[in-house]
Formats: sequence, structure tokens, C-alpha cells
Amino acid sequence: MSIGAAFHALDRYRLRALVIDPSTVAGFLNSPVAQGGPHDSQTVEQAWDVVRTLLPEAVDGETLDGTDGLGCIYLTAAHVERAAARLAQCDVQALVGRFTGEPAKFAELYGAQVWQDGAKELAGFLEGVKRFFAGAAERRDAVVFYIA
Amino acid sequence: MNASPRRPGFAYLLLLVGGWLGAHRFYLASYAGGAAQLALLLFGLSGYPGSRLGLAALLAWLLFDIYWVHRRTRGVHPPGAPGAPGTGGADAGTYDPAGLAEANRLQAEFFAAAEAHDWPVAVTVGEQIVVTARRVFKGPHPNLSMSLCMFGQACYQLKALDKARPALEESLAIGLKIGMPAEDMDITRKALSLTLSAIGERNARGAASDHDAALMNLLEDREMRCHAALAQGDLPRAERFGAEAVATARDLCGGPGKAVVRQLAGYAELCRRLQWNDKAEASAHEALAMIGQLGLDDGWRRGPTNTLALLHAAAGRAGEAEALYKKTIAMAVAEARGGSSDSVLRAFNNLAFLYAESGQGEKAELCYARALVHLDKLSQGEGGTGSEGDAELHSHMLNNFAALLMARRDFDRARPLYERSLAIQQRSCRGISTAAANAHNDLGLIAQDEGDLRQALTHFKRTLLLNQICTPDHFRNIDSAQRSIDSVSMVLATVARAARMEPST
Repeated sequence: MSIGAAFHALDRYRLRALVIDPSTVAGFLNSPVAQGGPHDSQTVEQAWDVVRTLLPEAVDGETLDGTDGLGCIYLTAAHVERAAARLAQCDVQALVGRFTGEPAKFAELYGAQVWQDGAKELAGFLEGVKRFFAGAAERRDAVVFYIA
Repeated sequence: MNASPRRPGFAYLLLLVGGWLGAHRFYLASYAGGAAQLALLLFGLSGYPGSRLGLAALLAWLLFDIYWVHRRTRGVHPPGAPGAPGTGGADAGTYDPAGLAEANRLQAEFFAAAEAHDWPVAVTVGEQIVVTARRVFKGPHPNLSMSLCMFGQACYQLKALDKARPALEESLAIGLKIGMPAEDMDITRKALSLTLSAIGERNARGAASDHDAALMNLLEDREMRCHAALAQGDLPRAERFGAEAVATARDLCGGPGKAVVRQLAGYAELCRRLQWNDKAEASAHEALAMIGQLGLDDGWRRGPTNTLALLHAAAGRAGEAEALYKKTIAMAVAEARGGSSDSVLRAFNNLAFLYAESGQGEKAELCYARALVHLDKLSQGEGGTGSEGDAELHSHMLNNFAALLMARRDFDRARPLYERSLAIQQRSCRGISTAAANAHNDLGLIAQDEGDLRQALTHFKRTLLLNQICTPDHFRNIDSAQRSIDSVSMVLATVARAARMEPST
């Protein structure tokens, strides 16, 4: 079974409860917006390792242990604003070019070979993450990056 | 709710052929009568003395049953036959065919809504069916009885019990009057019994009507949402739900009432925390006036009195605040019967804070010491964990006391108080709270003062993160923590640079 990940934007006041009880993160992420679930999500599927390596700004938060997933990082509203500002400066084409141009440098990453071949799709994810953070920062949302 | 399947002709045939066995009675659901006739027959055939009389009595009874079958089957039509409920066929001769067609159409709509558990629609359609049935049949009729039963059951599902009860009672009365089949009557009886029991439960909750019950549900919902928002630290959202709870309580009580007092007291405190002081004061005063009007005890006064005292203190009216705080202490101590409780602790903490703020350090220390004694007693009572009760209050009290000592540079006494506060927060919410942020910040200041900059940096970083999580909109706190980090980081960087530049000896 492959490992995938997604970014989830949530009400900044909801974050505290998740940090206090990390075992509720998975349930919360699966709940609909109407029931207080995430405002928005951006999947990066199996490209999570590549995305977090190429866009370290997007995962520049705090690690949350004790969730049911394989990894979880949260960013407070302040982190998200900072991350969005830094991500806005990123040139996705240049990042993808660097990734495909130096395959040996990124060979250790999860599924690197797949995304070397699927650079167009990878670029789509990176642009999606930029857009996602811009929207989250505008709403002053917190963000959870969840790997499962 | 279906039409009776019994045919009058078949009932007469059974009376003729198997009447001795009570077959017609069993067929028409008079099971006790059928069993009695069978018993009479067995007795009559047993040969015991007087058994012949039993047979004679049975014969007389069967003759009477010719009339009984007529009565029992009168007005009952087999399904599909003319006049059967749900068919417009036959009664079309006697009744208005357009009305019957309308009833049939509505009945189909009703069943569709009931199957989909769409009870509001089922009730609306059921009401229309009853109106149509009354118009068409103009008096007691099986169809009207069943329409009322259907409507009553839908009302029960929708918790419209005040509508369900009369409908089911009327359905039962009509059924008894026209001799509806027992199984149909049983359905109505069961529905009525469930409705009456639900009404009993509703009344036990203090709701005299469906309207009251709906308001009580709404009030519970708003209270729950308000508490959830408070737990998340989202005061503006909590205030919105609090205001709705007050309005709902007013609707529910229709004047002064305990529910209104409780909501007003909570709302006043919320407004105070939002620094909407005028609104907070008005709500607290209204709550106190209502408490007087209702003759409630001091336990009710403590909350709004405390809020008013806090408002006086915030407005710099120390004298008024002190008098009210002392009042709340007396109320809390009386309520705790001289023992310890969170209310007592809160009252002492508030008075101590007032003294500290107004420069009366010694009085403040005395009050904090009293509060600490109560906290120790509470902790011992809870198995020494100190993790139960209002953890936020306990930590804030410890932080306040420590801050007083810190102001005197008495770090040795302040530090353990902050550490105890952090331990309480760690147990109650993994240390994710504003109380923990305050404790970390002050421990950072102590470490900085004592020259332990790395330790100070660790505390300040934790303070920043906790402020960002717990109070994301309090930018002043966040900026202040960031400035502390920057300042300590700068000193550490300078020290590191100086160490690199220093020639080795």
C-alpha cells in the first residue's frame, strides 16, 4: 500500500483541541465542513516526500505525535501567513527543473522516480500547494499536513 | 393503518359451518369469545352433569352472534372492495368521488414521506388527509379513524406530542364507536401509549408543551455550542451563542426564570471577557434583579456579583470591587460550608489580584496564601493530583501569586509556583493553554535575569507557540513573545561571535 499525504486548512481556534488530543486528528480531517471539518484540502498524493523537500516552507511547523497517521505537522495561523508569503516567491517551474535535472540528488525521496517521469503532475501539486496556502492565509486558517 | 381484510359474507359462512367451534369469533378477532365458545362446546360434549345446559347456552349465544357478526362487520370493507379505505371506488357512490380521489393521492404522498422518514412532510400531508376525510365522510368512519391514526403517528415521530395525543384519542374513540377490528385498534392503542409516555417524559423535563420542549432543545444546543467555542478560546463565537441562549431562555420562561438568570450570568461574564463592559454590567445587574425577584439563594448571586466586581476593578473602582469581592468570598465559603472549593479559590484569587494591582502587596500575599491553602486542600481531596477541578483557575492563581513574588524579585519562591502551574496544565491539556504560556514567559524572564539565556530562549519559544495556538488573534502577546526571542537570540549570537573572536590561550 502506498503512502499519501494532504494539507488541510482548518479554523485557527480548532487547532488547540487537535494538539491536545492528537488521536482525534484523523476523525476531524474526515469530517465535512458543515460539521466543523477542514475548510479546504490539497492532496499531494504519493509526492509528499518530494513536495516537502522542494517546498520546505509548506511544512515549516511543529510535529504532532500521537496521531493515527504516519506523520503529522501543524502550522498555526501565524506559521501559515509566513509560509504563504514565502511560497508566493517560489518559482514552481524552476523547482521542478531542479528536481528533474538532478535525479541523483533526489533519488532517496519516496517515489522520486515516479515524479521524475510525471513532472507535469508534480508541478500541478506544487502550484496547488501555493494556491492552498494563499487561501488559508487569507482566511487566517491553521494547517495540518497529514501523511497516511 | 391498512384496511381490515375481513369479509362479512365469510364471517356468516363460518358462523354457519364452524360456529360451534367459535370459528367466526376467531375470524373477527374476538379471540376470548371464540375460546369461550370452544370451551362451552367441549364442556357440552364432556357428559358431565349440566353439560347439556352448556350446549343450550352455546346455541343461544350463536343465535345472538348472527346480530353480533352484522354489527362487527358493519362499515368494514374488505381491501379492494368498494368503500375500502384507500380506494375511491365505491364510496364514490355514497361519498364525494373528488374528495376520495384527493384522499388517495394524499395517502400515497404520506406513505412516501413516512418511508423516507420525512416527518415534517408526513405531518403536513397527514393533516390534509384528516381534513379531507372529515369533509368526505362527515362523521365516524373507519377511514377517518385510520387517517387520524396515521396523522397521530407522524406527529409522534416529529415529537409534536400535543398534536399526536388528540388525534390518536379521536381515532380510538371512533374505532370503538363503529367497532373497528381489534388489530387496527391495537395499533392506535400502542401509538397512544407511546405518545402518553413521551408526554410524561417531556413533562418530567419541565416542558409543559411541544413548544417548550423545542425551546429547551434549542437552549441546550446553544449552551453546548457556547461552551465548545469557549473551550476553543473563540470568544466572539461564544458570545453569539450566549446571546442566542439568553433570548431562547427568555422565550422559554416568558418572564423572569432560573434559566434566564443562568444564561444572563454566563453572558455577562462573556461580555466582560470581551471587554464589552456596558453590556456585561447591564446583564449582571439584570440577573441580580431577577434573582431578587425570584427569591433565589446566594449561590445564584455569586457569579454575577463576581462579574460586577471584576468590571469595577477593570474600571479602577477599587473600593466597589473590594466590597463585592468580599461578598463573593462570604458567599463561596458559605456555599462550601467552610470547606474548600473552586469558588472559594476564585474569590480569594480575585481579591488578591485587586490588592496586587492597587499596590497593596501585603494584603495580596495574604489572600494568595489563603487561596493556596484551599488549592492544597482541593489537591489532597483529589488524591493529591490537583488535576481535577478548574485547572485553568488553579494555574492562573499560581501564576498571579508567582507574578507578585517576581515583582519583588523573589525568584526562589516564584519558580516553584510557575512549575506547579505548568504541571497542572500538562495534566489537564498537555500544557496547551494561555496559563501555560504565561508561566513559560515568566520562567523565561527569570532564566534571563539569572543569565541562563538558553533556558530563557526555550521558555520564550514555547510561549510564542502556545500564544499562536491558544490566542491566535492576540497579536500583542504574539509580538511580545517574538520580541523576547529576538532579544535573547541576539544576545546569544553576540556571545557566540565574541567567543569565536576571542584568541585561544
